[in-house]
Amino acid sequence: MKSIKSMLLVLTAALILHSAIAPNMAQADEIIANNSSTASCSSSATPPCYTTIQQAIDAAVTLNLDSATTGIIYSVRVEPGEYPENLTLNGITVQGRETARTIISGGGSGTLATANISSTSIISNLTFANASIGIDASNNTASFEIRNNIFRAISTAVTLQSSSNTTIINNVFYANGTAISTNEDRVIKNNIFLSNTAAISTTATTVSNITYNDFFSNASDGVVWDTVTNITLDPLFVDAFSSTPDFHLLSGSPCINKGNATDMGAYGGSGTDTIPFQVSGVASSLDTTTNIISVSWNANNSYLVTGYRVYYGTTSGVYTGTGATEGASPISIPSAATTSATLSGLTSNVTTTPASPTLNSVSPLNESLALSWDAVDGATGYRIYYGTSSPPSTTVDVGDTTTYTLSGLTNGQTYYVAVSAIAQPAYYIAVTAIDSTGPYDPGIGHESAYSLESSVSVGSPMESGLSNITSDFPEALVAYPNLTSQGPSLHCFIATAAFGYYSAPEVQALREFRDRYLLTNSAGSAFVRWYYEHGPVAAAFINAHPAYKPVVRAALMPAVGAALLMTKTSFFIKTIVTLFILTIALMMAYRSSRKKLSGSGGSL
Amino acid sequence: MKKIILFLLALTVPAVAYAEEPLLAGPSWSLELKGGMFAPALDDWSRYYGKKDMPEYAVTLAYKVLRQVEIGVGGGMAKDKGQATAPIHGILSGEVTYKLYPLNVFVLVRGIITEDQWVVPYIGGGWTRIYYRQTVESQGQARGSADGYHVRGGLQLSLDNLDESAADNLYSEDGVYHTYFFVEVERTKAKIKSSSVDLGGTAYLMGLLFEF
Repeated sequence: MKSIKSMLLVLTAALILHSAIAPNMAQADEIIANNSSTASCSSSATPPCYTTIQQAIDAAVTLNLDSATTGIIYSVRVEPGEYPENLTLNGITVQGRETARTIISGGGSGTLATANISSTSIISNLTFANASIGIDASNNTASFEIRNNIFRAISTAVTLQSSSNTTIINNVFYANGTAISTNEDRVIKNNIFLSNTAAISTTATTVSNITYNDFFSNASDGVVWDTVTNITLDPLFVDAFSSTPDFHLLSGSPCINKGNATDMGAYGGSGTDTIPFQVSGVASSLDTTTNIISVSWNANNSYLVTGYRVYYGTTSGVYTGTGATEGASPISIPSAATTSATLSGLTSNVTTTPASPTLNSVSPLNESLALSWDAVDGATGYRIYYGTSSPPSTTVDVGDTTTYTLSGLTNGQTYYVAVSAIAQPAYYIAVTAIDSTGPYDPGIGHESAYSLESSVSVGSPMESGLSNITSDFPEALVAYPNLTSQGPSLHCFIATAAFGYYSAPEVQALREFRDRYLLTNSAGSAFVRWYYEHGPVAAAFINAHPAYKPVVRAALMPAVGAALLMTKTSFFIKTIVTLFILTIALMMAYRSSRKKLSGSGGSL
Repeated sequence: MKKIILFLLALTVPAVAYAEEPLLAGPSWSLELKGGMFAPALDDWSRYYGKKDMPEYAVTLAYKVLRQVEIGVGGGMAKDKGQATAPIHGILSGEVTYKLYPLNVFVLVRGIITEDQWVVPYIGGGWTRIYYRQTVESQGQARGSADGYHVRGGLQLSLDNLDESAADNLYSEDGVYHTYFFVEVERTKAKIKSSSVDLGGTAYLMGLLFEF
């Protein structure tokens, strides 16, 4: 009986205690910021999603007003992307999904994030780049943690003035002006400062809280630090210098496990993202003899990476392929040093011939025909057939489009046109890097996001039958109003009249010679002006007397030949022909002078 | 159009009479930023371009010879896209991009009687050169210009009286004496000599006028 009483007492006490504590045990929830054009982002989704970080912060502020009753405190999770924003954090915790690929950039100016906080918050797993100030956390007394971020190419990466509860832990500061500017002795721990003008600029008289950092190759470190825990060695980043830098640590880095019970830098501590850097340089090719697809990629040299996964599939972006001798997608490569793989036994994945497309329209243009047709399911491209007889036989492969302009045709000539659909079997391949921990999920945990995709064609293309065959002829168009160019930009009047039409090759040669050799100097320009003043009169005469056209054409031939020589041949050919003509001219002049001398009885 | 011009001309007559009695020291320059629609004076325009007008944007800068009389220059741009004709087929085919760049030199009379006048009529005109660029799909570009003249008139509404503090700030910080919203009609005639095609038309514009 006594024990029952004791149990009831304990139960009652527990219930009272629970009811007293429960309102204060707030649950955390996330609001998503995602500016990817392919994401379906909606404020009414679960969880709510906004296309800018500030919108997500503002939504979190509003929802947190009711946190006392809902018991939920909202933070913001930022999906990978580049966000050109100037944030006001307002006490909201903001966390990037993947540090390297979640970038807040300022285009060289402005403050990327102003803390303005009154409650405990964290900003983490983000890259701040190209701005005047990265984070301004001045004049805040609430607890504010800046951790696992990368700051690069910023005038002042972090400024802390009179912010007594701000801590800076496990960040990378690379190539900034001043990495940290403060007037206090704040906790600055597990950070790597590389190639900054000034690592820490402080007016504090004592700096006992700057510990477990690496200062290397800064113009000025700015402070005298504790030499027991701080180091001054090359951190050995995977690649700090490329346009998409990777600040993971190489094997042998002095920063590994040299922070306060963790690694130094943005990928140390309990708050780090667990996503390896994206694999680059993925390429694939098919050996048509063996039907083996070879895949290669650049190594991910982070010391955390222990292998790769090779994904494949028959649809772009969908890597659920099966049938390879090596196994279904993804295929595990259990070595970080291995940078190639093979996929064998994959055969054509297209089993049905695509349907014939319908050629909807053929529109006449000048020396061209514009075609459009209906898309066909399963087609990966289209083949145009054209020619001056039916069925047409000349082909052009035009890719996955439903419009095309056939150019280089002759005005007035009838062309027969048709189109067929092509289904080219192909495999789409992507590679990810993984660490030793798992579980793996691309771009989410312990596995990098998919690399850029590589594709390889397998087997012969399947081609549909021809569409309906349509005939038409190109012709010169007339615009409204029918304007023509003024001045020496279009007409070779006499040649046009003699050769019959504006686009005759002889006329084009003369026009090109005019543009390249006459209009580029004052004497040539003067001649062109004179010609355009008097040329139309001669052209009108030729048009009125067509019988003279052959004579004029013959008379123009030397000029056309010279124009072709000057515009269509190499310098070497020009030189040879010029020397040849000069030689002939000199020989004729010599013979002529000899004749005159012999006629007059003299001698040379 | 002629009636509108005569009406605006009549409205500006008192101001011209006052012009001999100069107002106190005032603005020397005026800057107009304006936009609207330009309807070409070509009968079949809408058949080829789908509608009867196209957007036009323009800016003018003028020096005030008198408080009411100014001379200036202006430039603008109008652009539209339509279709060409395939004459043998007898159908519309191919895209045409038509651009006009009018350049104006003008004299303008503004009917200003007092500096705090709410509504000011104005009328002006002058020489015009219109540069054209006409690009036909797969065929190339025709370019050139035509000279002519333009007349324009409109009404300007003082914004100073609507927000006096903003007006004071504009004056003290930027030296802007007056700001107006205006609407105007402009008729341009500019025929190409060789073809007698008139590149002009009627523009209906609105914008902001700053006097400084």
